[in-house]
This record gives sequence, structure tokens and C-alpha cells, in this order.
Amino acid sequence: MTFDKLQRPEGTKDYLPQMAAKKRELENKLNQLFMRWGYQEIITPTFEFYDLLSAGTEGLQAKMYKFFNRKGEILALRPEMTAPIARIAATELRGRSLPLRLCYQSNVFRYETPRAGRKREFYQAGIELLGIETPLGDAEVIAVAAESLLASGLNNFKIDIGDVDYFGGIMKAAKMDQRSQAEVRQALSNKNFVKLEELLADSELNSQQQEAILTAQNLRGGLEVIDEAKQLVNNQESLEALINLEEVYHDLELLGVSEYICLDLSVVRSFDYYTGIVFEGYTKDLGYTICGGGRYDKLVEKFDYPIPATGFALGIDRLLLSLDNQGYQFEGSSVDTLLLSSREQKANGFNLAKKLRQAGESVELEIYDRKLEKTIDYAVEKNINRLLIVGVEEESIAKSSTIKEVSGLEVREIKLKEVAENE
Amino acid sequence: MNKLTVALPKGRLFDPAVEILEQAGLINRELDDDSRKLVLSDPKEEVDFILSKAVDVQTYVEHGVADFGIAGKDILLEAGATVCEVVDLGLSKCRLVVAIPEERGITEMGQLPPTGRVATKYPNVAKKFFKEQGIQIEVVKLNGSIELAPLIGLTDMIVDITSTGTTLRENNLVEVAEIAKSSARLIVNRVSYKASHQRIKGVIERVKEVVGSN
Repeated sequence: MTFDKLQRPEGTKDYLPQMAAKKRELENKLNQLFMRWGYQEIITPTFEFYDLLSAGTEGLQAKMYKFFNRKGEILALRPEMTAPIARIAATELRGRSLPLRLCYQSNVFRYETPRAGRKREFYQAGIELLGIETPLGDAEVIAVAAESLLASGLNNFKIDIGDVDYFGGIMKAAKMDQRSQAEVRQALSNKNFVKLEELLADSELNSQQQEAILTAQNLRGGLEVIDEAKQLVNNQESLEALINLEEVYHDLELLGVSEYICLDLSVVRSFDYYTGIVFEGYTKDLGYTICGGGRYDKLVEKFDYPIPATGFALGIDRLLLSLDNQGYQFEGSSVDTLLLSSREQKANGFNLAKKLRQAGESVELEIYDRKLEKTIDYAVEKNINRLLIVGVEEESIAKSSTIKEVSGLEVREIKLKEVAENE
Repeated sequence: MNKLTVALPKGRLFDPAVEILEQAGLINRELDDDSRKLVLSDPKEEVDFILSKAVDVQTYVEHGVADFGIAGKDILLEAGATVCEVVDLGLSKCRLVVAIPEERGITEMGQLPPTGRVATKYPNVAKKFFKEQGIQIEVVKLNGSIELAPLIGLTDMIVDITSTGTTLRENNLVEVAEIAKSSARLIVNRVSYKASHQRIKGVIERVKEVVGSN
């Protein structure tokens, strides 16, 4: 196979102007929303020490892009943002009044086989709330997640909330070893019921505990899920998880987003740093989840600063795809005006463009010296609103344009939308 | 109500899979995997059927263009697809095994050489298994007649599926390890499972009943 340098590396993506405009529009909306909740933007290096990134993200080590610097230290491109933010919280922001409310918009990198919804470089927007261990902290983060999807213009989405300690409590009560617990968690997270039933049947769990896991993973809905799940367990940890979940749900009702929430105890997420509430958002218009997050109380502690934390990240590409699937109309980025001036009237033309730009209009200058119809073709293809002509007098112009005064200068105007429609 | 889309595997698994789904009430029309049309619909029940190559079913389901699918566990293991595996249909039962020519006199994993060449249709499954065993291998990917490879000296051993063991015996191969048990599974897209939960749960329950009574 010959190497084609014009190809993009596998798993990467170009955002052409139209797509880039959508992405920017979406990111601006999200950033605005995060700021309205008091989150402050933070920017971290694209690459960091591998050891730092790997402490935060078990399971992603094999997926990091790694390289050496000249001292022989191992660096890696960040595979997600939680570990870098935990590092900052534990160092540069250490000792600041808590809670810390931080948000970001970043590209992240994972070396994995590109498949449904997975790229090697992709964009995330997210928030981290550090220093709060109460259910209201979880509720706030989930509410911001719901409002983010809402602000983006997405319809028909839901956010499923679970608590990893519910199943953890049952397994701990049965004194299952760590490895088997991880296997059960994996089967729950993949909703691999065939495997789950096998694992449970071979485990130390008694029939009541097996029943509790099998029945609970099937429960979905509102608060009734918690009442049912309470009947299934008698260990303290599972019951506390349910009480916690109940309180988060009540807070979400008060925050006015409970209509987007569904309780689902089988949400356990694949990162193993999660310690309590976990959640993921999805819409039926996309075959994979759009956002996810949860509580990670032990992570910042790994960097010698024991503070609890919770947060979420949203996949920008996945959200863009969902919005496209739903036929969402973005504002777009069309140019307002193309300005054509004669050689003699250049000064007047440039001056007019400047005034229009100052007034907030986008103005392109016609730089080519070409036939008027070519100029019009160009402008129509680029979806420019209108053509303003200063000082050029041709018979063809006189027919299709109207005379107008703009900022004290008499010009001819051609509405390009009309030209496009008549074609 | 939204339409459900079901991806069905053409070939050996097709007829028994269709029969189960018929009994479960998901299929109410004639389906034939010889059909030239690859998308068939059942307007009354609001179900679409995709006729897919067996190895591709999980791809449709993973992307969410199909809500349901039926696929062999061997194929799911090889593809590593992220889908919900909800019911063991008990069809196409077989085992993924490591086999080696009888004349080598090896009967268990511990006796295998520390490095070796393995012929298989399942390179990912083979690599993962041997890595877990701490054995370094080189995989030679073949698309069929895997048993041939060790006989003519292409590889030391094979990783393949076997149901009765006849093919292995006929080619003087002995099983030295079982990697996994396989059978056909009902799989569901992860988001469909959540987004159309009531309906999907109903289908799963009915399929379970049918499988249980067979």
C-alpha cells in the first residue's frame, strides 16, 4: 500500500466551515450555560506526564498516545479532562475556598479502533464540581447536564441516573472478591445479561442477593424504582445508596429538570474511578450515549488532596450528530455583504465596508477583477446575502439592482437570495 | 410508536432464528434469506428486517441502525462490539478451542511452546486468550479450512469453533484448551434498550419464554 499524505490519519476529522460554525455555535451556548451556573473556564496542556493521566484513568492506559521528551520522561496526549483538572485542584488551586466550579472545552485523544461514535481525536465540553459531597452537588451537575442538552436544542433526550454503591453493597455483603465484583460490574455496564446470570450463579451470592441484582438492573423509571429496590436489599451500603439517589432525585425535581431524568440502577459506567452517583444522557436519535459523568471522591485524593468531586463530560461530535439527526437548524455563518467597488471609488468602498463592519455586519471585499455574473455566481455559492456595488456602471447592473443609500453613500444593491431563487 | 428494526443473520442461523422470533410474535410475515431485497418491512407490526451477513449483525446494532439482532457469541467476542447481550437463544452451540496436531503429543496448555504460530478466523479472540495465558503467538488469519494450516506446516496450531469435534478428529487435531462456549444471542442496541425500554423488554420476555419452552 502506498502512503498517501493527503489522507487524514484514521480516527480524525476535518470541520469544514459549515460544520465548524455549528460546532462553535454549540460550544458557545454550552460555555454560556456553564458560566451562568458559576463555572469558570480552565485550559490545561494538551499533553501531560503519562503517570498523572494514568493515575486518573484506569482502563485508558492502553489507549493513550505516548511519547518521550528528551529527558526520557513519558508524556501522553490527554485522553480525558478529569485527571488534569484534579491535578490543578490539588496543586495550583489548593487551599482556595471550596467548592471549585470549573468547566472546559477541549479536544482529547484515545488510540482505539474507530467505530460507532468513537474517534481518536474528539471534542468534549464538561464541568467539574470539587469539594462537595452532598447529594445537592450531584444534583447540580446533573441539572447542568440536562440544561446543556436543552440549551443545545436537542429534543427527546433522557438522563439515566444510578449509584454504583447499590450493587457494590450487595457484592460486598457477600464478600465477593474484587475481581469477581469487577466482572459483575462489567456485565452490568454492558448489559450482558447472559454473562451476568452465569457470573451470579457461580458466585458467593445467595439467591436473595442474586435476585436483588437481577431484578434491580431491570428497574427503570421514577421514584417507584427506589421503593422497589429497597425491598430487595438489607445491607447498609445499598440502602444508603438508594437514600442518596432519592435525595438527588428530589433536588432535581426542585431544580426543575426531573422530567428529563430516569432512574436506572444498572448505569454503572465503565471508568472505575466512580464512587457514587453515575449518569449518562442519550436520545433515541443516536445509537450511543451523548454525555456521562458521576462522582469520583477518591481521585483528587490520589494527588494528596482529599476532596470529593463530581462532574460530567459531553461529546461535542455526538451532540452535533444527534442534532443533525433531529433536523435541528443551526444559525449558520453566512456572510452578509460582498462589496464590489470600481478602481476610482476604492476609497469610498473601503470606507463603507469599515462602517458596516463596525455596525456588526460581515463584509467581504471583491478582490478579483471579473465579470459581474461571475461575482454573483461566487456570492450565491457562498450563500452571501447581498452584493453592494460602488461606482461600477454597467447596463446589466442597472437592470438587476436597486439604488440605495447606505451610510451616506449611494450604491447599487443586488439581493442574492432573490437571484438564487430565480435560477 | 417508533418502528423497531431487527438485523437477521443470513445463512445457517437464519431459519432457526426466524422461528424463535415468529413464536415470540416479532415476525408476522414470510421471510426468506435468499431474498434479493435486503430490507423488508412488516407494516402491521411496525417492524423492519435487515438481512445481513452473520458477521455484520453486531455492527448494525452497535451503530443503532438496528435495535435488535441475532449473532453468534463467537462473532461478538471477535468483534468486541458494545451491545447488550440479552438472551442466550441456545442455537448454533459450539465451543472456541485451541487445537494442535495429535503427533505433537501435547494435551494441555502448559506443554505448549512459549512462542508459536496460530491459524484462525478469530485473531482478536486468539491474541487475547494467549496473552492472558502468558504465551506469545503469531496469528495467521485465514477465512476458512483452518484445520489445513497445521497439517501442511503453515502454523503450529489453530483456534477455531467446534461442535461435535468430528472435523478436528478427521484432521488428526486434538483440543488442548477451551477458550469460550458459544451460541446465538439476542442482542440489543444500548440506547434502544433505554429509549424503547417497555417494548424491548416485552420482546425479550417473550423470546425468553420461547427459548425456555423449546
